Amino acid sequence: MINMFVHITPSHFLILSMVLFSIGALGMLFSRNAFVMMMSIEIMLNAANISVITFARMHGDMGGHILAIIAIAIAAAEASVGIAMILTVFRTHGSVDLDVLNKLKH
Amino acid sequence: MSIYWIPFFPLFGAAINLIGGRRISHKAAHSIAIGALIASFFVTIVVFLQLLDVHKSGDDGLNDVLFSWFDLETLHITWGFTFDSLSAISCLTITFVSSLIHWYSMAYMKGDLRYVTYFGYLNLFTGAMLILVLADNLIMMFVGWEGVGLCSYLLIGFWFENRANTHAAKKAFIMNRIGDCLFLLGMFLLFSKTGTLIFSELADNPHLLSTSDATLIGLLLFGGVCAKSAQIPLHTWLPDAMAGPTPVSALIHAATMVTAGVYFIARLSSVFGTETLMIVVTIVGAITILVGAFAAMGQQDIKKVLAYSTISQLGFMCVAVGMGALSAGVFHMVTHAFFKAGLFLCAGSVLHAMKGNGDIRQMGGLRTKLPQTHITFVICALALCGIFPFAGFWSKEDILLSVWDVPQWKNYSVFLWAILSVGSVCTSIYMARLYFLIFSGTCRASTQIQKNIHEAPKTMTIPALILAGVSMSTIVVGLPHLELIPIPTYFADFLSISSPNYTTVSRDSIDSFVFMMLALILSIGGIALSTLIYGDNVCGDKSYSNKTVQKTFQKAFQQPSGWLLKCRAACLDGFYLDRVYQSLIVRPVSVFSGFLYTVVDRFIIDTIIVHGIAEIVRHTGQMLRFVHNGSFHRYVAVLIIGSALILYMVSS
Repeated sequence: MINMFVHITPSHFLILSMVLFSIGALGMLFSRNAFVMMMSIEIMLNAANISVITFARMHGDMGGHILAIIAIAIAAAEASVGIAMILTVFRTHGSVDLDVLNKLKH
Repeated sequence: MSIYWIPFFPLFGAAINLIGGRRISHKAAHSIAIGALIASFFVTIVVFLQLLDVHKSGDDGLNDVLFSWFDLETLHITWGFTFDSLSAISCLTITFVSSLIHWYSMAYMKGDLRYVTYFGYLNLFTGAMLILVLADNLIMMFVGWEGVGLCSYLLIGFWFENRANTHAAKKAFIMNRIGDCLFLLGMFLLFSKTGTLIFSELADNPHLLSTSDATLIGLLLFGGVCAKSAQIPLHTWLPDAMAGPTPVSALIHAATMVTAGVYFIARLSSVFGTETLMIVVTIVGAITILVGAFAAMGQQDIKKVLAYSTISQLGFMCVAVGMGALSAGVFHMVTHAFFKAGLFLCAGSVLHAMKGNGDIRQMGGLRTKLPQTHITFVICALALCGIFPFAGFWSKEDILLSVWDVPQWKNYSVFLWAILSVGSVCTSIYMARLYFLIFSGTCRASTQIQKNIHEAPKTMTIPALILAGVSMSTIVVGLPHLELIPIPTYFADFLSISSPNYTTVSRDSIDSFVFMMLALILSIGGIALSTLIYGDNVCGDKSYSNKTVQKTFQKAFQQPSGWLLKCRAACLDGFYLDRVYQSLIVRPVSVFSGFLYTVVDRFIIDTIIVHGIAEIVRHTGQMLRFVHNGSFHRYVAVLIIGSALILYMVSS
């Protein structure tokens, strides 16, 4: 079915990865909200996972899959810690706007 | 009995007194110190008797190795002691004189704030000197050499509350360091050329050194000797060393410290054997004799006169060892130790009576007030002047006669003899002057001091009397060797057992007799001249004798004018050597160090380098502060752009 539309090569996956990564990076740059930035980080991580798995498939090596699974596991842990921190920050400061949260400057 | 017990006792006593400090009572302190010295003296006698046995069986001396100190490839240094004739004589003199001085100090230092420390230092001083004379290698000797240097510093500056005393102590220390520096260089060079620093090996292998090497090494080592034995040009510390307590002066001048240099030349006679070197040693000694003797004539302080006298007498010893007349030099060292210690102890008694004021112009008429001191002083002074039959006569005659024995001085013997004779005439003049100004005439001190003048306690007069007695009786051992007259010459014979360098020359009896008489007449002439000038007249008083000749002399010497005045001022100032050093060395050095301080240290190092770096870091930090503005987005942007750039550079 898929073959009907277009023949999918590894470069498609890499382009997908690049697009996702750019979306994440731009999200990081232009978002003020800590939650949104958190999600942008997750997007970038998954973009990286996609390219890792792509290369693994290209070389027929299972090592890349393992790396991706570990990265997902770590990303889950990181997300839970990050969200917990953001929650705490919200409780103490009443905001998750990073432009407001610059107390460490001085 | 092992040799190492000799230095052990004084060092042990020093350890107790110095560590104990104020916890030790005064009585315990001097008991320990004097006990240690007497123990050491007895050990020396026991070992000396052993040595006599050893000599009978044909050996040189006793050797004893305490332990190995360090090994560096070919350099093996042990705490080895050697006890041969030379060290035996030195040890006996040192322990004997030092015991008496310790005994004397008991009364002299009574009630002093740092009484215990004083005895600790005194013991340490003696111990260091004993290590010096007993050492069997140069490194060990250097330990003693530095030890006496340290102790002289500590004792000269003993009353450090007075600023002048600390300056004198520093001067002695620094002067000695200059010499030690040369000494060390000589030692290193000697080791690099011969590969050994052990005296017996050096003496047994004279061929290891070429003549030029030996001369250079000898000159460097002689630099050390010059400082330690107060020879020109490094003698100026000795008159200033009078700042210390008087018994210390006695110790420095008689038993320890200054004789070390002469002992050293005698010990290393195998190295000092080259002709050039001998000539240098002799010339330096001869100049020292004259400088010391003339300066002594101009001094106004009792201890300064004696100090310059020591310099002059050390010159005699130096000339003797320089000429190769080692036994004469060593004999003079021993006799000088006795009578000079005696004189200093007398000076101590006089100072005790005069409440510490040593100006001889304010003394006079002490003969009746200090009868015992007077007798002691007369005997010791006559011995120093070289009047028959006191010890000084024999030792000085021995040196004067040796002048004619030296082949390389053949053409200049008369000249050298004349210098020595002038030196000995001057000795008579200044000693007689000292005697007359202190003991005869009427007292010129203030009435308050006059009322208090009293003889020193017995603990002070008896040691001095013993020393005087010894200076009378040492003649027995040191008679010169004359042809046809079979008198025993124990001293020289005893010395020659250990080293062939000490063999005495048999002299023609009649010539020797004539020269001895001549020297005696000259010495008596010196005393007579002094009597003429200072005999019955009161110093500074303008009443002159009626006799024309006497009047002329008195006028010339007591109210000098023209060049005589200048001469006297020069003598009083020690020929301005201190001032020369001040302007030639001290001033430039202090100007240079001032430059180093203000320009190099304060400006370049402190301002430019240290503060400069700190300022650069601070300013850079200031400039970089705006980067850290706490904006998370900017950090992320920098991170992303930065990593993109890095990736780009890596990939292309």
